[in-house]
Amino acid sequence: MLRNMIWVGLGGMIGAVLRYTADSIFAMLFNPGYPALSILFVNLTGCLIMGYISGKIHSGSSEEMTLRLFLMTGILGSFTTFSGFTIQALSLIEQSVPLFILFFFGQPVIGLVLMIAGSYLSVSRKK
Amino acid sequence: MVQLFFVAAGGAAGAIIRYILSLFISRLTNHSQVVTGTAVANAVGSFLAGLVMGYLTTHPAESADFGLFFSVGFLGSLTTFSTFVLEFRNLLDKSFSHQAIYLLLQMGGSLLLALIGILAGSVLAGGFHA
Repeated sequence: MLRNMIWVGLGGMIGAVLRYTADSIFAMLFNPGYPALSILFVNLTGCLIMGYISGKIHSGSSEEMTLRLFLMTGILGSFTTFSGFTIQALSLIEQSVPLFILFFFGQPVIGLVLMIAGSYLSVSRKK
Repeated sequence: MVQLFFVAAGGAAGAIIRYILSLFISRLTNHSQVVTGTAVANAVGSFLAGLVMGYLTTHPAESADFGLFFSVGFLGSLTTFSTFVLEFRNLLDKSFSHQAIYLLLQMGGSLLLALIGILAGSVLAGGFHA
């Protein structure tokens, strides 16, 4: 239990730093309007990779369980964000309702499609 | 570089609390796939993010380090989008009502709580009396 928590915490550290790095790069590239774009980027790439890893690593052995906790719960869980998703959605309402709809409802749909695509990639790469 | 330290510390704490919440809620709901620890973490995280945002609109830049630790690190990692989509994907072969309740809880609940958080934050900051 404590060992699991350490792996999740370590992954969480890495995921949060990667998200902050992505956010800083988006801030340099696309000043104003960058927060929504950088959240879109981390959440959608996170879904794609989540699909790939969940298809590749099954929770059979205890090593695989630990690896899933580190990569999926820790790194990807922290790399992607829901608080940023809801806060950005609310600030988009003030700017444009169509953009809000695209961001708030479109993002989960595209995330789901990318996740299924990621799983498909992990299966088709197996021999 | 010191910013990365604050983000990392908050990120570790947020992920560990999300993990503990998911174990706890799963036991509490007898391993429900609809009411999950992820939903609770996302709702609580959205409310707190709204609270901070509402407060900071009238008290800007209290402390940049606190924002990095708490909002970017802790709340960013406490909440998760990829696990939300993964849990929904696992419901695809369940009934429509399971899927609808899950989405309503996650998306509707979190959006509403974020809004309440923003309002509560600006009241706390005295925004409505200024």
